[in-house]
Amino acid sequence: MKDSLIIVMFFVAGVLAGLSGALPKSMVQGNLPMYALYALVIFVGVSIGSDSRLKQILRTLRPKFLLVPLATIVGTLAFSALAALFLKDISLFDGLAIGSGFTYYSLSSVLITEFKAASVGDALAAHLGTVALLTNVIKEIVTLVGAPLMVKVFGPLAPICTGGAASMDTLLPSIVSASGKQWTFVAILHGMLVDFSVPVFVSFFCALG
Amino acid sequence: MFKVLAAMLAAVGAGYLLRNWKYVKYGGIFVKYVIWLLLFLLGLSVGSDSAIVGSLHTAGLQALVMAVAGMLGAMVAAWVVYKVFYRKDDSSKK
Repeated sequence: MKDSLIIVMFFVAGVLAGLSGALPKSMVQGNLPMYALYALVIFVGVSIGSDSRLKQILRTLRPKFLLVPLATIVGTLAFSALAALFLKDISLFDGLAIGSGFTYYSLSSVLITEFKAASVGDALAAHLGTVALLTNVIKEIVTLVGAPLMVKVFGPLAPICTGGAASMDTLLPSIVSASGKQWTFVAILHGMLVDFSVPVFVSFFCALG
Repeated sequence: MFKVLAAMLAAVGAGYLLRNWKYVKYGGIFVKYVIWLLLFLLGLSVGSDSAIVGSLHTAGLQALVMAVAGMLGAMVAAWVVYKVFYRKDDSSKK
């Protein structure tokens, strides 16, 4: 719990630093986040590669692992559609497009803002892009903080599925520590497949809406 | 994204080759610090965009509903897949 609080504190500190203008915006527009992400995947990769159980994990790889990304896509989209029906400003297809972000907040928000600008205008498109950004940021932070609770209630696949595309990189350490190391490759495979599905689903639902 | 995946695959290979080197396990400690940095940068990108800050209350409420619904759907589907296809052979089960 202490670790989760520290993580939230760092996010809030970032928001406050951004609001105060104390730090230059170039910090997030430049290459720093990308280098940090690379450092992260390299450290995570090395710890997976040096794991003595790696061979055993690879031997147990089976086609049913593909059911995990399928669960993520079907479950997320079905409930996102339901939620969109209750929100008067969000149409069904906009809701599906927002849900298809699967925690890939940077890509999905940019794509939605771009795709919707032609049909609904710049302002509403930016609003939908912001909602997509926040929705998928919330999903990522909640998964980061709540993974242990999710495992307790819905089983070890729950944080992998809510983690979406981030299950293979930024969320991998918290997922692995909550679900167990034997799910590492399921989480990576899941993240890769869901990651590739984001631009496909987002553009598809934006075209329909 | 392909570059990130390639970096990760290369790191897995490097980790495998270095698996008997006693310092390799310290990599896990750095993961925590890099996550802190990434979360701080994420907050910074939200806080420094005045358009996002301005419509935060409406967008925030809608995002909360969308996030809760999407996660609930994903967790229910995850639970079904686990129960039907995985439970039998998950050796970690208590």
